[in-house]
Amino acid sequence: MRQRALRSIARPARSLGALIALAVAVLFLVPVGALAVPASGPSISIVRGASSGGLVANVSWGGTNITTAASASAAFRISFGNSVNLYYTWRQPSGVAGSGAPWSINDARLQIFYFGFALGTRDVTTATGNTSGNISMSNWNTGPLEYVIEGTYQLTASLLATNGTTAWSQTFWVDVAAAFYILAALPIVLILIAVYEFYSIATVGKQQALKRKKYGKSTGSEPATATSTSTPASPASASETGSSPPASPPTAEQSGSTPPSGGSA
Amino acid sequence: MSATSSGVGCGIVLGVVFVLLAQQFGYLDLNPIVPAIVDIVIGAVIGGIIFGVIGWALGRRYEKNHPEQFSEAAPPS
Repeated sequence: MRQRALRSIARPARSLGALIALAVAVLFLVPVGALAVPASGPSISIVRGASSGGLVANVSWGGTNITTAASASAAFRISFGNSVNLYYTWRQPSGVAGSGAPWSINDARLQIFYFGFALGTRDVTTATGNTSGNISMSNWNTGPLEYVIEGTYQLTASLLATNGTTAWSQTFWVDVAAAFYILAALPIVLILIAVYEFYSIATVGKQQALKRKKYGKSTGSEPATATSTSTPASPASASETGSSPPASPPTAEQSGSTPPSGGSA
Repeated sequence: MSATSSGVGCGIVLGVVFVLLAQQFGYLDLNPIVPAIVDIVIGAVIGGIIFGVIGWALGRRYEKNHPEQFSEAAPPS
């Protein structure tokens, strides 16, 4: 009984640790892949840099050029529940040598990345392509992702030509805030895992003692269980096979011997 | 030995958790896949080493403070 109790204490400690390790893997590999929204348009190749093929473009994030947030430390901050207006402008300067045919832009795209996956993609398209012009992407926010994630994320703003190729792209950074700074599912789960692991490391000595007791008893208890199983079997078999009759006749004789003695008296 | 391995296990999980939390609080960039995985592996290795040592030390200390729990464990000779 006590051994079973010790096992039940020691076993969940390790199996729970393995479960948590598995949960971490599932949490960060499967959902991130599932959340990855595939690009709705044709496949694109991201072109790094502020200009490409003679196309000059810029994007403003709430009135500020996104090149000012080109590093994680200078990320724009978007509060929980807020949205931002983005404004894409582009032009094809005349007299650009070797640029070939001018780009005909009809798609402004914004993607948010995590672990290399595009968590979200938003496109604003126009019916016809233009060599210069502007597209307004209003009220962009992280959507339901704001309940799950917070932190600094890489975004890529890009302009796509009518044939689906990326004519221009620029990477910048946004710090996504959760409600009360911390109330997003991912950090809460991470903090709970960390608390459990700290508790586990704090009680590691006790777990070690429990394990040693368990293994000590299991090695030493094998002969003990063998004797204990034979011991209860013998009385049971004795009572069933009627080994009591050899014991009972003498008592019957003894009990039967008294009345005559009493009767004779 | 088991305290050390438990510590290593906890340390690996904690190392991964700390790296992900650092990203969540804006101290780390985990967006490109390759440096993100490298950061996580480094966190797991460092966490495993540090907490392995901590687990070993805590196991030793518990064994010293509670010798009766370990003397019971000795198999009968």
